[in-house]
Amino acid sequence: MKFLALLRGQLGGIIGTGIGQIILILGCGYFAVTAATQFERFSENFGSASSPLSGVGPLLIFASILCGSILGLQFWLMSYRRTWHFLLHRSVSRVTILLSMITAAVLTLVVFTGGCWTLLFLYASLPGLFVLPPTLQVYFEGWLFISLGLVFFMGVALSGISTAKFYTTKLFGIIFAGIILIVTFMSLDIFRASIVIAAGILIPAVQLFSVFLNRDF
Amino acid sequence: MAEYVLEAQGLTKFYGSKPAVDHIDLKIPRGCVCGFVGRNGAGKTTAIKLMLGFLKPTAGSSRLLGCDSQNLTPAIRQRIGYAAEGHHLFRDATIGNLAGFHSAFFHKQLASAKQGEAGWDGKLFWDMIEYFGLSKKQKIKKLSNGQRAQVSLALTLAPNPELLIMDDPTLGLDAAIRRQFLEGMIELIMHQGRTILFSSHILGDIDRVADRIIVLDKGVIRANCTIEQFRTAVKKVRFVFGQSMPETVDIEGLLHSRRADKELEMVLVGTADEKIAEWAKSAGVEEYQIIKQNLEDQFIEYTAPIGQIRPFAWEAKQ
Amino acid sequence: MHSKSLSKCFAKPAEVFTVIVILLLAVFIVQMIALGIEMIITIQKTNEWTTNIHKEPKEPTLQEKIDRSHKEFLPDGTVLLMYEKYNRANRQDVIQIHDANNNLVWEGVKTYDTNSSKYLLNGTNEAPEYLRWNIIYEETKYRSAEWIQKIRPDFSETIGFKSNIDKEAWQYDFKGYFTGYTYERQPIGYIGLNGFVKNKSEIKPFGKLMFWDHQRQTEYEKQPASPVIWVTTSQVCQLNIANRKVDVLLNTEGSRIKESCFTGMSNYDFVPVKTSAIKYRPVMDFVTEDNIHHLILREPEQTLNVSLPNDCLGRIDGIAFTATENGIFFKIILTDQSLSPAQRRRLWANEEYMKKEHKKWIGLYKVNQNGPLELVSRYDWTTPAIKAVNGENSVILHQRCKPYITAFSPPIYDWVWRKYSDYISDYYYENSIPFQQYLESSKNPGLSICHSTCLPVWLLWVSRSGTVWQDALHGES
Repeated sequence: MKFLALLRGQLGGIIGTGIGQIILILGCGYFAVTAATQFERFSENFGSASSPLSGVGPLLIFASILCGSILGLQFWLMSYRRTWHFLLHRSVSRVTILLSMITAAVLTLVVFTGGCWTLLFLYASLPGLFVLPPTLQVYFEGWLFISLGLVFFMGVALSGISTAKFYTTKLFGIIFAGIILIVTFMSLDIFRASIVIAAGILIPAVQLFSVFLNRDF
Repeated sequence: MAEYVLEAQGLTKFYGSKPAVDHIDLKIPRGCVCGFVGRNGAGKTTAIKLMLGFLKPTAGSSRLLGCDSQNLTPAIRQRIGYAAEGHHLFRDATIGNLAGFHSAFFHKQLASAKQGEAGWDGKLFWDMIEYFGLSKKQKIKKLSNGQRAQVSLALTLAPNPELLIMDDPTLGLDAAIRRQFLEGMIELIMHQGRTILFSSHILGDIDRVADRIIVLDKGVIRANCTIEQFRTAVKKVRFVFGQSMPETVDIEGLLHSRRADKELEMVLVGTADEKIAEWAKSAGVEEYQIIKQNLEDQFIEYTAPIGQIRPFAWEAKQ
Repeated sequence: MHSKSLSKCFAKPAEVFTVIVILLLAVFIVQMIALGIEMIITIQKTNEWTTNIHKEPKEPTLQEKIDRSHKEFLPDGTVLLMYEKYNRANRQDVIQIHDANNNLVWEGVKTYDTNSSKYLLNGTNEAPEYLRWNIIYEETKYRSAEWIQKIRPDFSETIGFKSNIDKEAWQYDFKGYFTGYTYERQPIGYIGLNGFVKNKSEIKPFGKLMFWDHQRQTEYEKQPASPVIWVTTSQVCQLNIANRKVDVLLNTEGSRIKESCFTGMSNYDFVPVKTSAIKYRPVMDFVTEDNIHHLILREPEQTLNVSLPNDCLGRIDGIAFTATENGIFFKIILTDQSLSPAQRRRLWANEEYMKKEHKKWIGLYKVNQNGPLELVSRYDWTTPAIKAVNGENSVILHQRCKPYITAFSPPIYDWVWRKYSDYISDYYYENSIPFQQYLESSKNPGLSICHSTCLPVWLLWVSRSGTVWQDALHGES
């Protein structure tokens, strides 16, 4: 009940972000897929074939990172607006509060970003649109790109909650997220990329919990 | 039930090498209304945050309702109402949303009354909102500072908390609303077992409702007594000398003194009237007067730093 | 309390790891900027010497000329040395062909035919026709399955085949078989090791895909509809998707195929000829981990395995093969120093190697059906020790800067860099980005430094390996 109230409170504040995701991904993604249908006619008879959703990939990465960063900015805003005390004085533990914020971020990425991605994928899989359908691996890769949003959420949140100065280690969370992004695309296969992204989520998450539970507000 | 709802032992907080709060020892009994006063930067907000577990003390400890401040359980937090300084609330929410959010952390009034736990009094909340002239759909970011303070107070009082801690709650309220708020506090006091600790810069409010005063100065508790005791103890006396004034002043309870021509003004703490008369006679005072002061005047004199620069000294020269 | 202290236990190592990674990145950026500045200074000095472009570069010594020449063989084993010289005054490439005794055999000017996108030669008479070779690509990346499956911003790729005539499309998504659809996305069937089947349960999947490519006649004449050579870890198959036919050409029985060369791949057309008097046989070479070359020849069909002499395996500086109606030939270049494949690929950048003289020799071998390799011809030469042609100052500056800057590299960083620099630099090197030319001609060091921060990997790799040596080798001053 209390967790749901926290979750509702968080989601209420980020509904705009979710709607923005829908417009960005579905809107631009539709055009990218439509353009790809035209291009497919001119590709080689036998050769490496780009996915029909290749135009959507960079859009998905951008949208996910943007969404994750905006969600993580809450931690900055709450410090700036001094609303931490109001939230922390709820009759729940700090762990519950932090989990609600993380859950809200995950739900936003999964429902809005992931939902749009799934819709685009299903659209591209429709018979008659593309000669060769997008593969399931591409679908999973899309979810990896969405996970990058969570990587950036953790990084931005960790930087937001850090009490260090800007010129010391405050921005390390964001920098680390950037490094994970670069390493992910250093020509790794899906398995290694998943491990890198998982590390990119877990390492800052562990620090986020520790700082949140132990810092002075 | 515990005798003391709030206890602090040697509570200390250092920021770097500077102590914000220095070895505070405090015991607030149940049913007490405590005014927590101090100059700017005295450490009031820091002390309150330490007690509520938002800050970790450098040394010492504190307990609220019998629970260690650093490990306040959700059940204990439910019984404590807290209004932070500045009344910072979620800006993008409406008053209705905020009420819904806040009430979710409490039991419904009726059920909790039977169980003796904190419960959300929706009627009280909406009555207060209506009285303040606000509505459910108003967004917090569109409210003025005063209106936001009203919402914050309504949110804090609606759960009928056992212990109320308020950090400058009347900041931004106009005189009429402030009086209403104070009357509401008195009403709360009438309920058995409600304890209030509130900090304020308006000594008149403290005078009106509090029965104890705690004076914090540079992180140290300088006074912790009833209002009456404080009033009786802090005296300002003006001595007029016919002849020359003594170079040194030696009187029990002297806090500080000021000289001007043939006048000597002294601030005394805990000095009996007889002692004052005795000293006046021995020092060759022509006449003396115990100046009538309100609580604010007494507070200012009590916490005035010795040898401070007076930028408006030109008034005295005139 | 318990959760607070527990979280601290896990957070501390995570924090240490994060800080280390970021500090390594910071060290890397500082090193890259420092080396970039050093490179700009070096190249600025280089530019000073290249302003007089109307002057001809210094004539190379005989030893240098021999080393820079391409060594080719006539069908009878006679060695020819192809030396390419750039005439700055006329802006022409001049080809000189010498024999083993350094006598000029032929000379001609190379021009570019925009119509056919080929180089042509204009000489006094027809150039002697030497044997053309199929050059083996070591660890071919760009048509390899591994590369296609890498995660990229535009997703990984699959392999597809489309026939506009039959209105069919086939897709290989690395499950081991092709899945066929009509253009209306109706399922057709599956193609695997056992050919075409209707049901998935009947399919026998291909092994793990290593490389694949069309059989092509020349570098520039692609025939998309021609059969595809499909190379897995231990099999070579020929796929004719349009006819739904799969032929297993080779089975290496568990020994992993590590390198390959297909028919007609990249014959080094140094001196192009209009009509060839030599009749070549299509041939493919697949090298397994035990260094056996498995040859598949056509016209007529033939398969044979060739093992190279053990004593030369670690010292190969180049290998190529060809098959004519007169026989099957190997061309091997050997050096006197044992080299790893990575060293071999960038020998010109290896300062330790280049600053000393080395003995090299090239051999033409004939493959006998039932016997060992027969040495037909051999040519020996000595590579010169390459001195810096850009002047002492830039070399000294470079040599002075590098140890100090790279001395601050933490050991782990150095190890990571050594592990990945080959891979990343290969990509940039083989794609021949014009960045180096831009940098060399840049008059704005500030802008150049900014650019160098955008391509840190390439820049750092070039700087650490020694740009100076590359300049010297290509005769640029």
